[in-house]
Amino acid sequence: MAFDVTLEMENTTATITLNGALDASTAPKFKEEIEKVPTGKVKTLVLMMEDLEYMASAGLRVLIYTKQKMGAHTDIYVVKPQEMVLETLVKTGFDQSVIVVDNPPKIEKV
Amino acid sequence: MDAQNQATENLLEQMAALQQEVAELKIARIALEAQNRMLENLLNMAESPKPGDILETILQQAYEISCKLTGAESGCLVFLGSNSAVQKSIPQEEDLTSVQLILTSPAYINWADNHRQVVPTADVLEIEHLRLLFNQPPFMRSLLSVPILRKGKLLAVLTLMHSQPGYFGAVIANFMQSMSRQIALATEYARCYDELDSYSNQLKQELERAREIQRDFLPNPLLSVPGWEFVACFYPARQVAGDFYDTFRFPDGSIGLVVGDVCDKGVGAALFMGLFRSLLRIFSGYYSFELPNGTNEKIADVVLPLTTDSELAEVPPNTVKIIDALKAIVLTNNYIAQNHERLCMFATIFFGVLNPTTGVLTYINGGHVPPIIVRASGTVERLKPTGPAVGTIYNIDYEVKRVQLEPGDIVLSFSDGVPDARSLEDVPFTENRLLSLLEEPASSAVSLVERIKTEIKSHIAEADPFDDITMLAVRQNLPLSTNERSKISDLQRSSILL
Repeated sequence: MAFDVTLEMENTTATITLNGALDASTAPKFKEEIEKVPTGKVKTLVLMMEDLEYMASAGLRVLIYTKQKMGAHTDIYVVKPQEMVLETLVKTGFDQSVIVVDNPPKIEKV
Repeated sequence: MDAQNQATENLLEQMAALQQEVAELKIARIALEAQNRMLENLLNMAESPKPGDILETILQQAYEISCKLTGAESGCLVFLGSNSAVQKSIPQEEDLTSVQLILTSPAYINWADNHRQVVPTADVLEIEHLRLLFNQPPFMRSLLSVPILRKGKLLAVLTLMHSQPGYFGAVIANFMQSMSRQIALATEYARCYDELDSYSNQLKQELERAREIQRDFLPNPLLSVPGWEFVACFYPARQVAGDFYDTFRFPDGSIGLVVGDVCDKGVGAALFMGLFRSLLRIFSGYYSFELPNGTNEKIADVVLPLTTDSELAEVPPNTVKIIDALKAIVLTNNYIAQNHERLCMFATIFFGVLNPTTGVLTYINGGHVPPIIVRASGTVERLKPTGPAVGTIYNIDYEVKRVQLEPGDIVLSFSDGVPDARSLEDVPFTENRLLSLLEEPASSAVSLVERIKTEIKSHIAEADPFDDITMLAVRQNLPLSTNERSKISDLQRSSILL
């Protein structure tokens, strides 16, 4: 299954859109995008997961990295995860570390 | 008239040049065909490799093709190692004649190296140090020395010989000059391939050793407790796995049951598997369940709210010790989150402590796929997570839960490799399919695990393993009937008599 990840920046919000299957072979691509997010400036990180069909534990590992990198003052939103991905997040307790929502938060104007 | 002669001369010159060009093209074509043959064979060999053989086969072919195309009657191809000493020869060392042995000598190799190009020797009798070649059969008179160079380095020396003096003329010399470049390329490919092949074999051997060590981290044999049945299976997706299971007995007779799945795959996950497994054994007090000097010392700063299941008739007498044992999850979580924070590693772990006398299973489920209890009545219950995956968040509480097992009940813990097992069409096995396999009653834990294994195996078929697959099943046996009891005591009596 193919995997695609894109990063967009607007004001203090970074939006990462994930597409396909996030597993051990594709997780490094996701991590690369997270590494590009400037920590000081970004207050909200939005992970668009509507088209993410599968997330293995290697993907969850990148989520821990994301949480560590962004720090406690950055809100991490997970938008519209598919049932299987949400199940993985809930089962492993990762849903407690992020904010799971149906719609992306409004982007703050500077 | 002069003009006509001039024109004829020009024409003849052009024709000669054209003939020369055609001859050169023919040589280039033959050399290219020879190279193609060698490369094609190289690819065929790479598809079904015999370790270390490829270079030797390529050298053999290069030698045979050169002899055939030039009509040489004898010769030798010497391949030099990185220290410029002879590493291989065609014919092989043990088959070399005394004449061929001369062609593998350092003196001859040096001579060829100094020339750095194809050197035809019309008559060996005229060259002092080559005269020896004629002294013994097969009495070779002419010789063509072909250094095989790649990027200025002498890789090999090919020598072709013929009994007729002056046999190797300019045409053959030119041809072998082109051939030498093709031989150099093919040899270099073969050498690189052999190096890669040997490196990959070394890696495979290392991983095989790691696999053996990892196997040793798993309990073998599984516990044997009267009245209980334990069965496990473990199939790593790669040589080493991040999955693990464990069963161990505390000094008071309680049984530790663990199924874990370390995040990610491969060697990293396997190293952490060893760490998680050992931390749980040590922190649970498996090795020192009784606290020293009868103190009531507790592990500080850990809050474990105990959810009391109202359906449980009574709280087992060693509850405090069991909860202390389960604190291993909290301690392991903190250890990993604090000491290995940078690596972002974690594991989903189900850790239960079973009292084999009362059938009470006290557990923590740290983000693990919920184990299934298949009741003797056929109903199914799940042991849902009571906290997050272990190692993710420092200093977090885990809830302890209890469940009563009755005779005939089976607890099936497994890793997500079971529902995630993929077919050739990339279709997951799914939890629903697993649950459907539990509908039909099983007479033993082993028959249930076998049933699931068979189904998963046929689902995966020829597909590459997607994830590690692990299962651990525990069943409380049904009480023996009076008839069965008397049969066993008869057996015991007969064994005593024997």
